[in-house]
Amino acid sequence: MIRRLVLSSLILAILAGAGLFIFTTGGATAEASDARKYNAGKIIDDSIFTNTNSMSVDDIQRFLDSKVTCDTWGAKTSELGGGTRAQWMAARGISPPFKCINGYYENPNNGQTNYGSNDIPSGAISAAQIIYNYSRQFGINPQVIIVTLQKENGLITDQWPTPKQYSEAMGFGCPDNVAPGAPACDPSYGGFSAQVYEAARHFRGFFDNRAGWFIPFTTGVNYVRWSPNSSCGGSNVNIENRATVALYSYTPYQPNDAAKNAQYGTGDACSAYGNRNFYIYFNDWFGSTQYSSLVRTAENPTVFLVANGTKYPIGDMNTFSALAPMGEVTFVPQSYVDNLANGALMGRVIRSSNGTVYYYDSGIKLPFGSCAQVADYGSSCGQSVLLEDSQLNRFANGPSMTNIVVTSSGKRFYVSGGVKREVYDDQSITQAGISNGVNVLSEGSVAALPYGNPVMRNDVFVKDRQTGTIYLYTGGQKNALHDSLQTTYASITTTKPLDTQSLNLMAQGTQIGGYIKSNAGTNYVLTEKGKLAVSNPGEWSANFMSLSDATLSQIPTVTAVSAPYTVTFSNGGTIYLVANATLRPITSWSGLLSINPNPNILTLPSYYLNDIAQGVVVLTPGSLVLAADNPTVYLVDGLNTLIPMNSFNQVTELGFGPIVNTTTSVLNSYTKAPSVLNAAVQCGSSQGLAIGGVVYPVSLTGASYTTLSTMNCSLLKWSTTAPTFLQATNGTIYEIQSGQKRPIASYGKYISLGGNANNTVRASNYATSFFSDGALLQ
Amino acid sequence: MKIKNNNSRSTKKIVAITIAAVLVVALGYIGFAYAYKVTPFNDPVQEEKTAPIDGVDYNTVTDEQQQAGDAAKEEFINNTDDNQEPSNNVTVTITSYNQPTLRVTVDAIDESGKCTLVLSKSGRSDVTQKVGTQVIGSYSVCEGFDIPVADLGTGDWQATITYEGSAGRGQVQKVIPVQ
Repeated sequence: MIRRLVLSSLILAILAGAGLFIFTTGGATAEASDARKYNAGKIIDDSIFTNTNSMSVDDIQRFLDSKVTCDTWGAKTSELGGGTRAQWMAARGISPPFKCINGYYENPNNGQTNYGSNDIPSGAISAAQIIYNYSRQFGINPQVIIVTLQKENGLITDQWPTPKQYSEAMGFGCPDNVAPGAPACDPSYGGFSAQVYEAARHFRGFFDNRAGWFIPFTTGVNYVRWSPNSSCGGSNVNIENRATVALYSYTPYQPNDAAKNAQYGTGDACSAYGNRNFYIYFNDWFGSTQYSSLVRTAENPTVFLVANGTKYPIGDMNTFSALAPMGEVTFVPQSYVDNLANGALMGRVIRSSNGTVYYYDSGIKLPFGSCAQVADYGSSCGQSVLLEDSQLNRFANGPSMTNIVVTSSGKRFYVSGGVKREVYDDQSITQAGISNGVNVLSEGSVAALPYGNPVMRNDVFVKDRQTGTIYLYTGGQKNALHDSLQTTYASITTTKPLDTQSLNLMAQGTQIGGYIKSNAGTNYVLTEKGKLAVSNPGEWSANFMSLSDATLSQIPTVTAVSAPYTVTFSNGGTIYLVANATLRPITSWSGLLSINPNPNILTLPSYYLNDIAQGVVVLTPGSLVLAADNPTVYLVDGLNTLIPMNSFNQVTELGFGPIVNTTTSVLNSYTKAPSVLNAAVQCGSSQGLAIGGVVYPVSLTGASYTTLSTMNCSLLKWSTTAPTFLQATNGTIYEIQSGQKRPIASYGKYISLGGNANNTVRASNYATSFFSDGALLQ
Repeated sequence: MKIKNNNSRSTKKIVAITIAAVLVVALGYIGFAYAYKVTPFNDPVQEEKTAPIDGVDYNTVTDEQQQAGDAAKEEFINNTDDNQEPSNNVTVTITSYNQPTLRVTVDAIDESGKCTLVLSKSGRSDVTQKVGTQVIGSYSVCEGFDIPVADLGTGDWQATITYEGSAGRGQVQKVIPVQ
């Protein structure tokens, strides 16, 4: 056990030691600037290079104070040998007090300084003030000057600088290779002020590509040497901006890998350190030399696109997203933002230095075909934002810009005249005579453009993409479909969506209900499965709306059914009869069959349930009805008539029944026939007498026929022939002739007359009473 | 017959392993302390760094920065002590060619030098241009050559640029495509 513990401790100890070391190694360089990140083509952004607001005089002074502790009297040991620093200086005729840059004063007009003296000459100003003044005069970031002072001869951190370091402070006029007999530096530029002045002036001249200056470098491909030693060679560098042109023009060498890998240290024989040190000092002292193109300050959340020294505020997330190729947002000092010129709100139209105008979206740039097309997108060639070439190159080359844009969600817009017009479908484009070239862009690509009237063709159904409401677009208007028909139209028609904003721009037409008709006069009601042609529209409504044939053709037609119309609704099980523009509930299946023996029940949208007046229940035709407060029993004849009865003999013969109870109000809603029911009935042109449930076509002299409805007639069983013999309930058999009944005296006579079971009808006394009495047949 | 004292051996082994473990832990800490500059390797004076103010670092200079500055100073002192090897050979460099402009640097300060461009191609007569020099800071440039593209036609031409002036003489050659 102990052995195991010891072993575990051992392993843990090793792992702990190793782990800590790895962690330490990783963490040590986390915050330091890294010379290996030196970008030969873009050492520093133009906008940083020219940010004159980065530091005030006090800021510069404070900075200089922070970077040096001056050995005014040279008491420390000289790093250059020769004893103390004072002794080294004395050997060269230089007396203390030695002035470090934070305590250095100089009169720019006559070059008098306070070096070697405790007094400040008249008219002399501090090094900080000189840096600031020329920074302002030439529009160069004072930090650029400070870093150049440091990289040329270490003046910023030097605790015991020589006078010559001031007179040649910026290395201006000092060639790297001195020819025999030539001075190390051009004395005409001697003096700290003159050096800063000339350097700042040249930086500006290089940056501006000043006319008459034969600047050796330019944006694009250049050959930059590694070192003043020409045998070391160099490499091609694609210089991306003017600030980098200026730096190479000032110091025409780039660091080789050895120099970069050495960070602040020494590389190899072919290493040059000027621009490397510029880069690394700047990063350490003043932050990144390369802000992203997208910047903001800690205090203000507004993000700007920075291009060519101008800041363009970004006003919305769509534009911000489209600028993703510009990289992440960098937090920058307020002074940097303040120093940039103010541009307009960032739009979607950009321009290259060669004048090509592009739309940008989804990481690509799409060249416009003309300035008129730019105007279609609500901008102008003049308003396009001029990007730096390096920024523009971050967008991949896309196809030519088109006036039709399809967004990633499938919306299609025709962009013209500064508005976006949503497109309904291909046919709409064709009808509008618009070119069908399309680019697929992001959802936000045209979000900033206002909506215009959509590109629509007539006689189509269109759905509000946001609310789902369906409209019929016809006659240049949107006609809302009734709310309770929305679901039905959605399921039976083809609809394409448009945004609410597009629909809001359409003229409003009339609401469309369930009654529609063609121009030719065919009337339809809308069922759940399509439009149903109705031959008797008055049963439904008095108002049928005319629609074009093109519209009607988009609504499927259901198989025609004939009246009476029995219907039900998707939200309920009740079956109704549609009659006289009312809905009358049918209370029983038998009642339904009595109305229509082969019922075809239509399923309707709920629209009709609310639109058609509710009628009384349908009493079953052929049934007998009785109300509690009315002693009269009625035969229900058809859908609207009640025939009073004075006995049950008639219905017994007719076969109607049974008796059902109803209410007085229902009875009152029916028409009452003027005469009581008779067993002699007339159906159409047919007359007959009901005997035992069968109606026989007989002609009765003086009889009163009850005319029945077609519906009731259809319930009757008709015989095709009149009865030849009747057998009364008392056993008497009659021969029927011409409405007369003649009793037959004997069975033999009956047989002799041809009587048999098939032609003899048993009849009640009531039925036989309809025939007049004739003579006895012996 | 000998009876082995196994317990005694075992104890010795455990003690040895424990000592080894302690040593390893101690070495691990030494490595850690050295890397992190903690006791006993901590710096005598540890200044607390302040965050940059509006992007500017107002902390004292780091050792690395100080040493790099000192190196720059030393190089400056050495270069400006007029102790360089004299030479008549001036380096001439073609820095860029963006048709039709050819840009050339001369590693010398000479306001009145002469630069001569000779364009050569087999079967064609040489084309020559002469321009002056212009001082730009710590070196000079030839005052711009414009390649007469229309006269040359397409193809590769041998460009020879020669500087002659007060600083001496130098020459560079490069094949340039004319399109």
